Amino acid sequence: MSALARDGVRLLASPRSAADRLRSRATAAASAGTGVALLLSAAIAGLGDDPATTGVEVLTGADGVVVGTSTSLSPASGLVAFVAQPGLRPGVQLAALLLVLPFVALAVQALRVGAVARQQREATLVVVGASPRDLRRVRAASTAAAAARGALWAAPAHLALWLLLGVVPPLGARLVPAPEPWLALVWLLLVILLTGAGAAAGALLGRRGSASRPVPSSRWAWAGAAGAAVCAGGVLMTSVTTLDVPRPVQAALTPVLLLVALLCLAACAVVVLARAAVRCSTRRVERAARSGAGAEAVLAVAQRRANPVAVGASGAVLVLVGVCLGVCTAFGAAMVVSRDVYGSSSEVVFYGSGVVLACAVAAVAAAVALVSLALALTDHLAQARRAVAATAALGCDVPRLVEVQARALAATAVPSAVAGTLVGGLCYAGLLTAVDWTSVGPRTLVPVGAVLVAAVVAGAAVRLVSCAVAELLTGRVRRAAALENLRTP
Amino acid sequence: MAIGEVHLALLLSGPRHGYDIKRAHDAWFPAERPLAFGQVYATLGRLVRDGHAEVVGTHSEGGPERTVYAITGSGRERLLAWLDDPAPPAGTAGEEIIRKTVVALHATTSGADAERVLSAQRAAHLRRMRQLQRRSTSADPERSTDLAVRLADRHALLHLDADLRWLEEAAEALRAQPPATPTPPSPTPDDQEPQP
Amino acid sequence: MSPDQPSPPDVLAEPTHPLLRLAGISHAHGRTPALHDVDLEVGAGTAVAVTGASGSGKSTLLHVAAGLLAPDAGTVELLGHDLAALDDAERAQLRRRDVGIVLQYGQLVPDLPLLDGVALPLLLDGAALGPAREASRAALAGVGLSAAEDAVPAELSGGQAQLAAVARALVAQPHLVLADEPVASLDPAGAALALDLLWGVVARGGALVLVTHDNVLAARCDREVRLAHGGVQHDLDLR
Repeated sequence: MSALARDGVRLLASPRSAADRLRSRATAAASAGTGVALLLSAAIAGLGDDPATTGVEVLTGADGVVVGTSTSLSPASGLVAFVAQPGLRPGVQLAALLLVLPFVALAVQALRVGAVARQQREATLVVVGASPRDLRRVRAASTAAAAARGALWAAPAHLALWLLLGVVPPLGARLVPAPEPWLALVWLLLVILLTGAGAAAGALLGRRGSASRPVPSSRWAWAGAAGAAVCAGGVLMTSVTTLDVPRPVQAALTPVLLLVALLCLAACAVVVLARAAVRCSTRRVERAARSGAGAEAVLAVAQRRANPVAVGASGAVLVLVGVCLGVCTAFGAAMVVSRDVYGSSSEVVFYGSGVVLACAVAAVAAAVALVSLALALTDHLAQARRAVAATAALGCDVPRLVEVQARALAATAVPSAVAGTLVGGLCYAGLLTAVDWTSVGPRTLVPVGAVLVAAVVAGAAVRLVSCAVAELLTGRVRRAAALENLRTP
Repeated sequence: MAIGEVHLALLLSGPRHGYDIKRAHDAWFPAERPLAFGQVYATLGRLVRDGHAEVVGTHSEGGPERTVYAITGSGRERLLAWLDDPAPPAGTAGEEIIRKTVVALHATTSGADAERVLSAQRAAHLRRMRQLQRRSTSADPERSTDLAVRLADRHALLHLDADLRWLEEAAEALRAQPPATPTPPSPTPDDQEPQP
Repeated sequence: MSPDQPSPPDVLAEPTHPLLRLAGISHAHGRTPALHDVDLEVGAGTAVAVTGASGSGKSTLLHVAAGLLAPDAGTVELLGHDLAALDDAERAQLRRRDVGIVLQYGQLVPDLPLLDGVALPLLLDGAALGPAREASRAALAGVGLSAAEDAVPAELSGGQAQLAAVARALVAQPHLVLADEPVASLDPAGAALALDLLWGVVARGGALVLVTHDNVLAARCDREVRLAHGGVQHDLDLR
C-alpha cells in the first residue's frame, strides 16, 4: 500500500539534478523516435492497393499471378516505387519498423543514466519511511512523464519528416505519404502505449538498480540463446519453403525470418563482445597499472563498471547497420559486375535508389546508436566523477582523458560495425554464389572485395565519429575532472 | 594518599625487599617524584604494624642482609577493597585515579578484575558529570545565572571527560597486553646500595 | 498490523512497556562479526547512550533497531511490534510515523530543497503538500534554518545539514528517536539546540537512543550501554 499523495509523487518524480534532466530528455527523444518510426510504418501500411493513392496499378493475369505493374504519377502520390508498389512495400515497412530498434536501444541507455545516484536517493527515502510501492510509483511516474512528452512530440516530428521527405522532393522521389486523418488516432494510441511502456519500464527496471555492480558472466547463456535463435530461424525457413504456403506469403516471410535470426545473432554477439571488450581492456589496464601507467589505469578501472547490456544494445544496432551496409555493398558490387544480366539503366536506377535508401536508413540508425553510446559515456563521466578527478589530480590532462573516452566509445562501436558489415556482406555474397553455381569465378570475388573495403571504411568512419563525439564531450570531461569533485560531500 | 595500598600492590606479585619496592614503584609511576627510601621503610613498618604485611626473612645473596616483606591475607583484602572503591571523581586531583588504574592493570592475575575497576570508575565519573550538567542546565534562575558556578562546573566537567578518555585508552592497553606474570625478588648490585 | 491503521496509542499509556526491545541480537557483516547476543530494553521517558570504541558495533545496533538491517539472529520489537513479522510497507509506516532516525552521514535527499526534504515523512504518510510544508517550516524554524528553506543540501554546511536531519527526524513527532552521532558536526550552540529538541521527545514520554563517542553527551543520558567487540560490556543506570 502506498499512502503517498499525487503531490508527493510529482514532487519526488520531477527531474531536478542534471543527470535526471538528461535522462528525461533522452527518454523523451527515444519515445519520440519510436513514435515517428511507428507512425511512418503505419502510414505506409495504410496506403493499401488503391491506385488512386499509390499511383500504381498491379496487372494480374487470369490465374492471379502478377504480370506487371503500371505506374502513373498521379498528383496525389508521387511516391517512390518502393513505397508505392504493394509488392515491394513490405521491405520499406520492415525498414521503418526496424528503425524502432535504435530508439529502443537509446531508451535502454537513457533509463540507466544516473542510476547510482538514484539508488542512493532511494536508500535515503527508505530510511525516511518510503515503502517499496512508493518507490515504484515514483519511478514509474518519472519515466512515464518523459515517455508521454516524447510521444506527443512524435506527431509534429512526423509532420516535419513528411514535409522534408514527402513534399520537398520531386514527384516520384517522395518517401513519406501524406498523413491521413486516421493517422491521428494511431498517434493517440501510440501516446497511450508509449506512456504505459515508459511507466512499466521505470517501475520494473529500477528495481534491480545498480549499474555499477558488474553483471555475473552469462556469456554462455547469451551464446546459447544466439544458437537457439539461429536454429529456430532455420527451422522456420525450411518449413516455410517446404510447406504448402502461398508464394507471396513465402516471399514476404523468408526475408523477415532471415532478418529476425540475424537480429538475435547480432544482439547476442554484441553483448558478448561488449563484455569481453570490457574485461579484456581491464586486464590490459591492470597489466599496465602494475607496470606503472597509473593515471589511465585508475580511469579505466572505473570504466570497468560500464553497464554491458545497455552498451550491447547500441552495439547490436550498429551490427545490424553493418549488416545492411554489407548487404548493400555486395548487392551493388554484384550488380555493377553483372551489368549485362540486369541490363536496363532504369533497373539500375531502381535498385540503386533502393540501395541508397537502405543506406540512408542505416545511417540514421547508426547515428542514434552512437548517440546512445555517447549518452553512456556522459553518464559514466558523471557517475565516476571522483575517479576522473583523481586521475586528473595524478597528472592526466584533459586531452588525454578525452582520448581515453574516444577509445572507450570506439571499443564497442568499431568492432560492431565492422563485424556486421563483414557478416552481412559475406553472407549475401555467399547467397548470390549459392544461387548461381555456374558463374563462380573472378566475378564472385568482386563483391567480396567490395565488402571488405566497405568494412574498413565503416570501421574508420565509426572511429572518426567516436573521436568527434569525444571531442564534443570535452566540456563534460573537463567538468568531471574538476578537482572540486574530490571534496567529500 | 593511598601510598600504603600502593606498597601492598607492589608486594602482590611476591615477596620483595625495600629497594625492589622503590624500584618497581618508580617504574610504575614515572610521572611522580621518585620514592624516598625513608618513606618506603616507614610505610612498610606501618603495614607490618597493622598486620597487612609481614617480614618473611632476609635475603643476603651477593651483598648485605636485606629484610624481605610479603603481603598478608588481610593486606590482600585491604588492597582489593581499595580497588573496588572508585576514586572520587574530583577532576583536577587525578593522582588517585592514575594510581588505582595502574595498580589494577598490574594486579590482573591476583584476584583484581581490572575491567571491573575501570567500569566502576567510569560509572562514578559519568554520574558526577550528569550531576554537574543538570546543575548548570537547571531551571533555577538564580543558579543558571551564576556565571562563576557554571564556569567552575564546566571546568570540572571537561576534566572529568579527559579522565574518561584516558581510562578508555588504559582499558585498550590492558586488553592489548599479555597477562602479567609474577616476578621473583631480584638481587641488587653492591655499588647502588643506599643508606637506610 | 494493517498499514492504514494508526499506530497503537496504548503503548505509551503503559509506562512499563518498553518502546524498544532487542533480544539476542547477533549480526555479522559478511564474515566479520559485528554484534553478538546483545540485549537492550528502552522504556518510555528514558534517554539511553550507546557507547563503545570504533568497531564495537554501535552503528550496526542502531540500524538493527531502526529496522534498516535484519539481524542474523534475535528479535527486534519497536513499540510492541515484532519487526520480523511486518512486511516492508508496514516497517516503512513505522519509520515515518513513530520512529525518527538521524544517521551519521548522507541522509538528506540531495536534490530536494530543505522545505520539501524535511516534510518527507509527512508526505510519505499521505499528507497534502500545503500542511506538510507548514509543519516543515515550523521544524526548520525550531533549528534556526528558516533562512535556508529553499537551499538544497549541497549548498549547506555539514552542521546545517545535520540540523536539517534532526528537524526531519522530529517533524512527525515520533515516540522513539534513534540517533547516530547527531551533534558530532555541530558547534556548541547548534548542538545545544539540537539536544534540547531531542530531549523534548523524552519529556513528552518518548525515548531516545543516542550512539555517541562523546562522554559529556553520554553523561547527560539516563543510562549508558557500553559495547565492546560486539557484546555488551556494561549497562549502567546513571540516575
